[in-house]
Amino acid sequence: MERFFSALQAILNGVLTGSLYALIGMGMALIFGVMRIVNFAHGAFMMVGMYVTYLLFQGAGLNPYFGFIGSAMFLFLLGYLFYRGLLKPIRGRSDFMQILLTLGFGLILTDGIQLLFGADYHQINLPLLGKNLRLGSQISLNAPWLISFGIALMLGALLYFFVMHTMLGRAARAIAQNRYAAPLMGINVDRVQALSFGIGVAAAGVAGGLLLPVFYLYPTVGDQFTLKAFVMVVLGGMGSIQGAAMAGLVLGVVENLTSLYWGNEWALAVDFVIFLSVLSLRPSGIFGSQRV
Amino acid sequence: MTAPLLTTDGVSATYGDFQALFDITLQVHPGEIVTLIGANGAGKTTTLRVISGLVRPKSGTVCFLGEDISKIPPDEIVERGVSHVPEARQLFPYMSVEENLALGAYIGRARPKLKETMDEQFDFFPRLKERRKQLAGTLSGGEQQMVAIARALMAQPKLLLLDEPSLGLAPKVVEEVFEKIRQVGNSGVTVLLVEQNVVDGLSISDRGYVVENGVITLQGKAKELLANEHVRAAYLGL
Repeated sequence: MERFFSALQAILNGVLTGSLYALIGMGMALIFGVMRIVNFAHGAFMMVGMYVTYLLFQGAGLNPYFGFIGSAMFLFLLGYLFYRGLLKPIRGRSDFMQILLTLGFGLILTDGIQLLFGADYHQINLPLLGKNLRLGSQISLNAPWLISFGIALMLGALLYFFVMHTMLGRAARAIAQNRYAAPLMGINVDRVQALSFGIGVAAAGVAGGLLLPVFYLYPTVGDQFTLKAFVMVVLGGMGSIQGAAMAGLVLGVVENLTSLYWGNEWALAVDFVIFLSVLSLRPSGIFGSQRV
Repeated sequence: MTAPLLTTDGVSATYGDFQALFDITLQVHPGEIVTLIGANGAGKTTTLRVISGLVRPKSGTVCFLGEDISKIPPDEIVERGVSHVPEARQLFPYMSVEENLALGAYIGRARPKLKETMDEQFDFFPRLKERRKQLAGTLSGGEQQMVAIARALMAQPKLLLLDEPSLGLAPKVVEEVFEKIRQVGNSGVTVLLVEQNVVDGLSISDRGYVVENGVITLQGKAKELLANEHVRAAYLGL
């Protein structure tokens, strides 16, 4: 019974973590679907979102559960301008150049933040931090994680609705499914791609804001999330945002179970074993191949 | 005769070092159905792509409703009233028929009337109404061609460009598609058609142009072209 509850606890924690992964992965999947670009700066954008939320908290006393909105707006703008100013001029060139550009921009963000704020670890102390929701005598859920989970769930659903049911979302999917035909519908491909990039990066910014209360903050915190987001995009079927969301939940649960049974240091390794297995055995992803 | 709806004047176009079009001059008048015929690689598709803005002409102008459109982007050309049904349909395969049609009405001019125009298209293509929830990629070739035409009509164009609508379809289905194109023409939409299927293409057309190696070599009334010695020898094997 003891073992059952510890496993159940790990699974529930995994779902809570996974919901934030899912947001990050959905953003990356949207960008990949619409632009066929792997955004290697994704984690760095998320990290910037954490710093924005942190500064809003320290400077203006804004609670991170509201501050993430500021982070989303800032990152939307940053992503939009990044696309317009840097990515668009090299569209149509080799994939390699686009990889280098996002990778390089991620490094600039990381080192820029380090230059401005130093490499120190920061953490914020919300009174909420020690609060737990007890379910029975064995299971307890940490309050800030629960709140983050609730917000992530809401925004994930909103993003899904946006992509599936609005005209702009439909245009984004049209570009993903048939780039040649999209302009013939009167779609301004550049505009939709710039907006999609902004939205995809804003999703990472939201996740960063929501992670702040429960995570250490330092300039390279985003690196592991870039890799995880890439894993989610592959597991989810290369550009399917619902697939990436599911993959985020799976990753969260798998990581927590791995930590429980094998130790924390194995969590990332297991992510990559799954990643490589899926890539070699089922390259279209485990959640079908339907694209954005 | 009324002023032409579309004029290309001395258009040439290149892909890298390869010149695909030389001095293409043609007119399409309001209400006409005009067909470009010619062999594979003659430049018919490129001509349509220049008109819809997907390829920029190296020289020459494209005038639509009296204005030069050769330098404006494809999405604005759709807004002005030119819809292009590309070769091989080019649907959005993971979207339903309905969603494909909705995207046809993406432009600002057509979007407010989306519901009415979609009902019109479903009346015009009853088979698509039955399949409205089905993913476009799972339809038969003929149905996909109907979706492509309906999707283009959703933008309520003045000029419809059709690239090889008969491609890969069974003869009976080809007949059906051409009958629909004839009806579209009768409803007042001007049509510029590209076809390798010379007889079917010309038989629903008012006029035609023959394109060979990027040059217009012959033009005239559709009936005259069908009777022309050179056309009969080169394209009909007679």
